[in-house]
Amino acid sequence: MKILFLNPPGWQKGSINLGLSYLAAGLIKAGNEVKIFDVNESELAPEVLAERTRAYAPEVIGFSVKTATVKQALLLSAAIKKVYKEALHLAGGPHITLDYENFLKENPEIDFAFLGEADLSLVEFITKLSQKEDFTAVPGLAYRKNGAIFANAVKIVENLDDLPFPNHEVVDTFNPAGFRYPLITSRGCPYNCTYCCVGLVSTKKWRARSVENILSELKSAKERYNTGLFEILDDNFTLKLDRAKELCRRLISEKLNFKWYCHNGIRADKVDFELAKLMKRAGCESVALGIESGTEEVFDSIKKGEKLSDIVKAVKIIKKAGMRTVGYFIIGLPGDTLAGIKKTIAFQRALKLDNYVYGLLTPYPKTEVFDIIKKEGRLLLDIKDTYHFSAEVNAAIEYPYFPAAELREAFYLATYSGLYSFKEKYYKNYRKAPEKILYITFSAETGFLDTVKTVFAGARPDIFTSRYKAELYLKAKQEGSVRNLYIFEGKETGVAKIFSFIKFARLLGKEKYDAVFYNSASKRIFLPAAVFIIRPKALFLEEEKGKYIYGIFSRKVFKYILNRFSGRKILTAVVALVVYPCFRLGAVLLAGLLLLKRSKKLFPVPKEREVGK
Amino acid sequence: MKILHLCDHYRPLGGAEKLLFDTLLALEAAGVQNTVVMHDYPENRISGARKEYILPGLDAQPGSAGILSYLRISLKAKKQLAGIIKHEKPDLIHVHNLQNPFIFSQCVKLAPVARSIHDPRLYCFTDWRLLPKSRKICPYPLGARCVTEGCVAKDLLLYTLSGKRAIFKYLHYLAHKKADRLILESKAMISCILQNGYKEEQVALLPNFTVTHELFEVQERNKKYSVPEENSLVFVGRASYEKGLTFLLEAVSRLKVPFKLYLVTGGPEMPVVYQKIKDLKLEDRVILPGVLSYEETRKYYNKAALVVVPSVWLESFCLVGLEAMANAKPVVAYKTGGISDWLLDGSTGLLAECGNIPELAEKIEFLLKNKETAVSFGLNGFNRVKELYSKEVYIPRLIEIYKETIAGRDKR
Repeated sequence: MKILFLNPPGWQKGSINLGLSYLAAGLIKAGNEVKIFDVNESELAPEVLAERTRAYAPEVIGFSVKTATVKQALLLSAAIKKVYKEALHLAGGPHITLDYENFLKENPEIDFAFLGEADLSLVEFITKLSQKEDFTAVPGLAYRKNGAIFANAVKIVENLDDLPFPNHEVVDTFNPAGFRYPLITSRGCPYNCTYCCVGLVSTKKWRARSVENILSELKSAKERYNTGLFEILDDNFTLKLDRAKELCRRLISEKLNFKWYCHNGIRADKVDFELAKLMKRAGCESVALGIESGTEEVFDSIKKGEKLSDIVKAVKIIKKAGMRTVGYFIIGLPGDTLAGIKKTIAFQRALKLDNYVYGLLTPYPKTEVFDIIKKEGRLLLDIKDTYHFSAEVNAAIEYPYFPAAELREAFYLATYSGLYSFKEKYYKNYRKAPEKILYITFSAETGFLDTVKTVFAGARPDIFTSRYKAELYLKAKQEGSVRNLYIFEGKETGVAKIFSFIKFARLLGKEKYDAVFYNSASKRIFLPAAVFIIRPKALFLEEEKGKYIYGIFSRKVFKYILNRFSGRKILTAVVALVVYPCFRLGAVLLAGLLLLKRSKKLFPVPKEREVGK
Repeated sequence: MKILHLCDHYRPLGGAEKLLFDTLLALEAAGVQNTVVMHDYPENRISGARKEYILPGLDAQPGSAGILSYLRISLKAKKQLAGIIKHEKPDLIHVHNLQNPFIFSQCVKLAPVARSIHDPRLYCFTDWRLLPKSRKICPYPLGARCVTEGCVAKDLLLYTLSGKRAIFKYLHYLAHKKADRLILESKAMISCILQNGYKEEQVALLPNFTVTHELFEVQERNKKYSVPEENSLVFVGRASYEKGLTFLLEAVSRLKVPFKLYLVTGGPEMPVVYQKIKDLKLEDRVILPGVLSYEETRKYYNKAALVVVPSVWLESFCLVGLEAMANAKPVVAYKTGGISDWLLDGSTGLLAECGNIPELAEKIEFLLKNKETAVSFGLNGFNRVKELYSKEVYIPRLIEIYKETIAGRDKR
């Protein structure tokens, strides 16, 4: 049969839907033809997608549905049904597993739904459908009958080694260049964290692949995509320490030379120094931990089954082994307050993580947190309107003791804590908030402007940017949220650029800025002029919309400047010193050659030609 | 027939890219098998509509990254492209917008090549064929004047960006002497190519096309979106000097009739445009909807009393004019480059002398005051597009060029 899977928009950019790639592999193995349109990546308009679907003419269309992408999936389904009615519409994914009854009740355009892991059940369904057999008994299938919704018991994949390796090549947007290969070595998690839906979706039964099977997949990935990167996306990668250690040992002994990441998070009580060292030796660069909260009461109440002291220990172990640490935090867990978040921020700072991410709580149906919020708090949004990854800061919930406005404030306090600290220090020193702010940026990312507006309560910064990025700020200038927009015209030579910038910097120096933020994606060459000529009261290197700011004398800035002088760059510069004069001489010789190529021909009269001939 | 298309941008960006997508679709409808190789711009995406490759360095430029990295990336891309060509075994390679001499010479070596030329970058060191000092259209061929006018480099002692690129630009120019076919969009472009020493047998004339609709549908839409008392003027195109936006703003500031000017635009000159609007006190009369898709832009064509094309460089063709005419709208333009191929002065619109602001204002005002004439110009334009610039004319001619090119290579 001809099957099309759709990954609707609304999820993190650059991520691949691994579940769909697994389903595609299973169906292809069973003799079907499969394509995946990753609309999250391609951002095709529904009408365009519908046309493309019609051209492909599938018999079955499967939608991968997460809570944040429900509405988009339904939009796509409706658009396709307008122009192409010949296919069955199926839905699966975490949201369906959690809320299939309401989903099928509210959306008659979806014919069937699949609960839990559909690797086996979908193949069985498609086989029965193609052979025109009764498929209503297929495990995990949810369907309508006589106006009621029925669902069969889910059958999980007991032996993950039985599954074929995921097929990414059927994804329309797939690009092997720089591909970070997504890898699952186990599924399921036996813990009872109150906010988490993994136990409901992938079940509490933890199942692991054999080390041989994992290595075989990695070798195949290396061969097919020439990739040297992978990312472990397990629900609980290190549950069995010995197995994780064995995998690392084999990665080392097989000399596959992969760099890899554990950004889906591991448990803090499931890592020891031996494992951390092995992970590092096996190529692991960075490990994430789900820390969630830095207050003992809240941390204990979410039933993670570990202690805050485990977190402190794990971070130390991972750092000592030489890997980067990333911490994930949740704002808005039951019992959380603004004061509690301030404690969490202090805890996060004390941990000295390399990276951290704060997210506002989205309560998923059937989780314990969902029921608590129904009793103690209030849902402000339909959860289908929430975003898992978004620049928007909209609280989905609130409590009498933690209202939505404070949740938002907490998010900014936590995410932009560096900026708040600066604001406090500035106030202590000058008895006022910083008013005259300059942002030097040559990057296309404009989010820092919103951050400044929020953190410095309505401040109107000046922007210094290039001619090509100026357009991004023109609207803000017209609306009045930017005070002055300084545009740096490109110059042909490096020397001319520096002189021009110095001229500008002298002009800006007269403004006597309270603070200057220098975007780290801007050219380093202008930094000295910003330090010595503009001479603001405070100067920071800024990254990720202001999430990270570094004082000018910090190690980070030192590294930022030194990066310019890495071994390879120095070598290139030395070679350039020899080669460039040759090119320069070549250009002069070319000019000489052109001078000899005298031609008096101006525009010749065009020959009469008939159009199209 | 199997065609390998090479392009820089593979997304709706400007006229050349719109033409590329329309051409690919039309060729596929005609049974041609297309494969696309594109440069690795972050915005370029695999669409899944056909076989597509993203090749890093395909359109590498010797810019700020340095010549050594440029050479390394280009030579690697050249090798990878050879692999793709050997794997795909195309009957012909159609090179669209690319400026990399290493890539082009590799194509010529391995398969028959047809090259579409949309601008003067092939034979102009400053890209746009405008003299650096006066910003007037350059009448000279590639040669001594490129040095004396300061186009190779303002000062050969200072190693400027154009100086860095000069050798590679010249190599690119030379590589095209071996091209099997150079596809030009207008008679003016043919003149430029011949003036620059390419052979007549290399040249093929293929004017652009645009998607056309039935007259009743166009008139229905025009009725729906137009606001007759508003006197809407529409400009569509990049905000850069050569597209003449500042000339247009100067011209409309002289109009003595009420009007609304819609600028469907974006680009490097936007700060200048905003400043000009402010200086000329046109804030209430100029509306900037931004850069839009063709479907959205079409609503502005439908709204327009007339469309203005104030380009002050040697326009290769200017697809905007065709789009306006396909929506039964008259066009007022400067007489430059390929514009006079499709704009018949006094029949489908009015032409003004290039760069002459009072004349441009006069012609716009004439059509705003004489609405019946404007409508009849629009209808003439519509018929002209249907007759000469439709897919039905373009695709058979393009396939014919492909066949001639393949046959020509076989003979060699």
